[in-house]
Order: sequence, then structure tokens, then C-alpha cells
Amino acid sequence: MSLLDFILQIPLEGIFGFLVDLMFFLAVYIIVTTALNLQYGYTGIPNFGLAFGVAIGAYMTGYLPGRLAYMLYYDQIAEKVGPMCPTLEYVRCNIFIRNEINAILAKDPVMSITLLILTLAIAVISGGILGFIASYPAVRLRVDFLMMVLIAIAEGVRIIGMNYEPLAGGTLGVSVPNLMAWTGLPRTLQSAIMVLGITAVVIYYSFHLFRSPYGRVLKAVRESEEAALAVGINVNRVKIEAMVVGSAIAAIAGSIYSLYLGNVVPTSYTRYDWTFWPWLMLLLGGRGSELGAVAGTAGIITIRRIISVYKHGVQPLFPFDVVWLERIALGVAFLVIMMFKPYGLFPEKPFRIKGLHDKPVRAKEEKKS
Amino acid sequence: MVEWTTVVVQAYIYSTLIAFLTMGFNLTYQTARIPNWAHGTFAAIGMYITLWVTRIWNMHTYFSLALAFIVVALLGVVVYGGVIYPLKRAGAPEILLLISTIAVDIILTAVINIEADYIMFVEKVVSRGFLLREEDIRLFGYPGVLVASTILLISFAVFFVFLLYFTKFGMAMRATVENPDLAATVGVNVDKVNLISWFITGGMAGISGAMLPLWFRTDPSVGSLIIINVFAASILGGVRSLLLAIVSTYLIGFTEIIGTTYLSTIVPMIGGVSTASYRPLFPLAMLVIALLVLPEGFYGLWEKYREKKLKGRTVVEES
Repeated sequence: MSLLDFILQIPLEGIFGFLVDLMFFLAVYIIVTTALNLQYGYTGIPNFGLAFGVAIGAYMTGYLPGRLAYMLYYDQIAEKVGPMCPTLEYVRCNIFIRNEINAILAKDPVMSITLLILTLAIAVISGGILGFIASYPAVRLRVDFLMMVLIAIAEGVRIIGMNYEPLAGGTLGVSVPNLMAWTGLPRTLQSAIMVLGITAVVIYYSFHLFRSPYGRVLKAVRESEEAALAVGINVNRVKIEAMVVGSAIAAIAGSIYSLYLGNVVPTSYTRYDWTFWPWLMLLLGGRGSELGAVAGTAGIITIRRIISVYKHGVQPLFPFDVVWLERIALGVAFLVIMMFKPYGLFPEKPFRIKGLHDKPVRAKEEKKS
Repeated sequence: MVEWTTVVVQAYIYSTLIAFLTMGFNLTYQTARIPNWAHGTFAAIGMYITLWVTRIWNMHTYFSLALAFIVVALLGVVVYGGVIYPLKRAGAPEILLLISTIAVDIILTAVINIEADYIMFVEKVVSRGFLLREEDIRLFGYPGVLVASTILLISFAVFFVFLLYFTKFGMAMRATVENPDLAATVGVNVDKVNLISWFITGGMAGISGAMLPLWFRTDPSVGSLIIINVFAASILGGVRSLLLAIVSTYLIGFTEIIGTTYLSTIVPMIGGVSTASYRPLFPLAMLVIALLVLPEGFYGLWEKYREKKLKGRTVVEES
């Protein structure tokens, strides 16, 4: 127990807190950029609706585990919450109910883990379903149509989440029960550990997916749809699959993000935080390159976390919200990368298949286009 | 009880103003081959020019129309010349060009928000959710914006028909739409065509945005909401046609506003908020339906009909 005691003694403020926070954001955004790398980097779908996958994962996390636990322990909770909040409605009495659920789940690791796995599973499934719905109407058409529809659907998901209160509490949001309370660690630390574990699984999965024959199918679709069709690849199906898998992965990120924060506020799943910044990370690192995706994420997350710490110090100097300066920097960074480093800092390397390539062959067309 | 006259007038003005955007969107989509995601934000810039002119300079509202046209048209030229043209020159693939318009949109949205904050904190004028309906004049007993937008839309439509079909420059424009490379080989200055089309469409977006606060409550996020109407109308009408785009804009605008109002009379609340909050879902639904049922839009239908007719005629001539 000495190690545990040691960890508990470390104050979570200051530099250590900052590092835990940084690590957590890094892990979550690596999942998001991996999803985008699958969709854009490998398959070539310009998914500017990336945020809807993240958002649906978060909404489901706000919707499901709390309600399930409430249903399971209804009598116990109702008895205690009743005097404070007589309606006993889940969204309205959310905070009281959450406190009771947390107290119960802290003593019940089996139930906590079951709920955690169930939540992640439902988030993944709903992300996949939404990915299918979003890509199905436009996947047969030109790539710009697909992009417009994805943007529009992300906007639609945001509007539903912000308004439809039973889902995730509308603009006020709902709180999420702490499913890791049984470990006895501080919330940020336990979530950071959980997130790192899940991120490791996602990276392992994507690493194998990208190196499998299926990864080469994805790249074939990206490079030339006609050529892929000619060798018998069902291009539309592959695109839909990439959208489904990518949105499911993004939903994991949304789910663990809200588990970490302990609440779901639909207004925070904006397209800036969950579409544009991940896009910049991927473009900066290099599309289709795992090293690039991770490096780009690490660089930009570090900069953004540092900015978020010092932002309040700079605010009095300007007669407007300084967040807009960050947005201008975001837009300018996009343009600069596209003009000077269109393949990112760590460009994608061609596949090397043992026995097929004696030495790596760099396709000249790739460089040109 | 709903006053349906007001609702219809609202739907009419809304659609008319968006029709400017759809026309411009389609034109640049055809000439430069990229959908300009920042087009809605161009209109939002027009909105803030109106606010600035009316509330800070205390000048006549309609002066802002001219100013918005010039400012946003020049902005369009800057965006094309400064961002899209260099990227095209560098041989950037289509996807990167799409992303570049999104980057432009991010920057412009931030600039508008900075302007809104500045107006609020320094000039002490309400700059979010503002409405300038009382500043409007009345023309022939109707609200000024209703008459002015109709007249301007018709004159732009006439202007485009004249420009595209009766001038040499219009021919160059149509050639660029058909095939930019081929047009360039026969001596069309494709870049000039693009620059001019971005100038005109930017100006139209500015005018449309400048008239928006005269009837609707506006804030900086309006641009990103109406762009979905523009997409939907552009796809439903068929991206190749300017006049069908106007028709489909009206269809979508009326469906959106009348549909929302009608739905609110049946179901006043959905999920704890008023049904009107879900209004942006209407154009989105129309967009998805249009893609599933009519991916080529009305223009595709018209083309099919024309093909059939032409085929019938040639058969008759041959026999």
C-alpha cells in the first residue's frame, strides 16, 4: 500500500496537475486524430463532421450509465433524493441522484466495471450507427458533396444535443456518475489511467488495421476510386465502413472525455474543439502517418494547454475575448501548413511488404498530386 | 394563434436573402470548382457593416448596402487571390482547396466575433442578437427590405442572364465552367474569370448580409447556420444552374419557416425546449432527402427532359 499512499499524497495542483491534465488531453485527442487518420488519412474522406462522433459518444455517456444505475437502485436512491428533489426526474434531480449513485458504486467494483464497459460499448455502437447514417446519403456522390453533408449532419447532431433535454440535459448538461470511484484514487488520476489504457487499445487496433490488407484497400480507395473499382473493391462500401469505424472510435473519445470531466455539457462539443483542431493536428503531423498523427497531436495539445493556462493573464489587454485570437491562429496555421507543408512534418511513407520490395519505392505521382 | 401573413412574409424575406447567397455559391462553385464554405460568413460580415453604419456612424441603413457590396466583394477577391489561387498554382488537390475555404471561414468568424466584442465593449452598442427593423424605411407601404431585396434579386438574376448569354465575358465564363483547361487553351483568362466571379458573388453575399438584420435577429453564428440552407438549396437545385438555385432556395426557406411554425402549433415543446429551436434541422432534412431522391437536383431533371426532347426531335428528322 505504500505506493498507493505515495500517489495519494501528491498534490494534484501545480505542475503535477498540469501534467495529468496534459496527458489526459493528449490521450483523448490521439484517439480522435486516429479516427480522422482512418477516415481522411487512409480513405480520403474529408470528414469535417468529426465532432458528431465525439458528441454522440458523450451524449450516450450522459444518457446511459446514470439512468441504468438509477433504475437498478431506484428504491435506495429515491428514498434519499425524494426529500430534496420531489419530482425524482433523472435530468432535473441529476446532481442528487449522481451523488447517491457514486456512493453506491464506490462500494461495488463489479457493477462499476460492468457499467463502464456497457457505456463504452453503447457509445461505440451509436457512433458507428451515426457514421453510417451520415455517410450513406452522400457516399456515392462527389467528395465535396460528402463533405458538405458531413458538416451539416454534425451541425444537426449539435442542435439536437443542445436542445433535446432528455438526451444530455440540453444546454445545462448532465453529470455522469463516477465509474472508477472504487479505486479510491483522485478522479483526475484514475480517469487519466483509464484513458491511457483505452488509448493504448485504440492505437494497437489502428496500428494493426492500417498494416493489414484492409489498410491497403483503404489507401487504394483514397488514391484512385476508379482503379480501386477496377480491381474489384466496392468503393462505396469501403468508404461507409471507414466512416462507421472512424465515428465509433471518435465516440470512444467523447465517452471517456465526459467520464473524465464527470459531466456532459453539449455546448462544449463544438466543431472547433472536436473537428478543426484534430484536423490541424493531423495535417501538421502528416496524413496517413501514425507517427505524424501522434506528433501533431502532442505538439498542438501542449501549445493549447499552455495557452489555456496563460489566457486569463492576457485577457485584460484586449477589448475582446482572446479565444478569437486562438481561432485566428488556427485558421492561419491551416493555410500555412497547406501552402508550405501539404504533407505534414512527418509525411506518410510508402508501404513496405516483405519480399515484394527490396528497397522502398517512392511513388513519384504521390509527390506531385 | 399564429399570424400566417407574418410567417409568409418572414419566409419570403428569408428565402430572398438566402437566394443571393445560393446564386453566388453556385457561380463560384462552377467557375473555381470548390464549394466556398465561407460564403455564409461573407454575409455575416455584411451584417456587421450594417450595424456599424447604422448605429455607430448613424448614417442611413441603405448606405450600408453599397458599402457591404464593395467591402465583401474586395474580400472575395482577396480570398481568391490570396488563398485559393496560390494553392491552385501549387497543384493542391481538391480536398485541400475545400479545407482552405474552411480555414478562411475560421479566420473570418473570429474577425467578426472580435468586431462584435469591440462594438459591445468599446462603442457600448448591442452587437449580439441585434435587430435593426425599426431603422428600415417603408417603400410603397411595404417594409423596405421586402421591396429592396426583391428588386435587387431580380436585377441580379437579369444581370447574370445578360452577362452569361449576351456578352463575350459571359461566354468566357461559361467556357470556364465547362472546362477550365480547354478554356485556357483557347485564350480565356481563367484567373480573371475567377477573380471577377468571386468579386460579384462576394458583393452579393455582402448585400444579402447587410439586409438580414433589417428583419431578423442576428449574431455572429448566423453565417454558419445559413450556409446549410445554401448547401441544401444548391444541391436541390443542381449546382450547375443559377435560376433553379433560386427556386430551390425558396422551396427550402418556406419549408423551414412554415414547417417550424406549423409544427410548433401541433407540438409546442420537444424535449423541454420550444420546437422552434430545432429549426435548422429542416434544411438539413431537405438536404438529405435531396441527396437520396434527386442527387443531381432539379437541374438534372431538366437536363434529362431536354435530352429526351432533343432525342425525339432528331429521330423525327432522320426518319
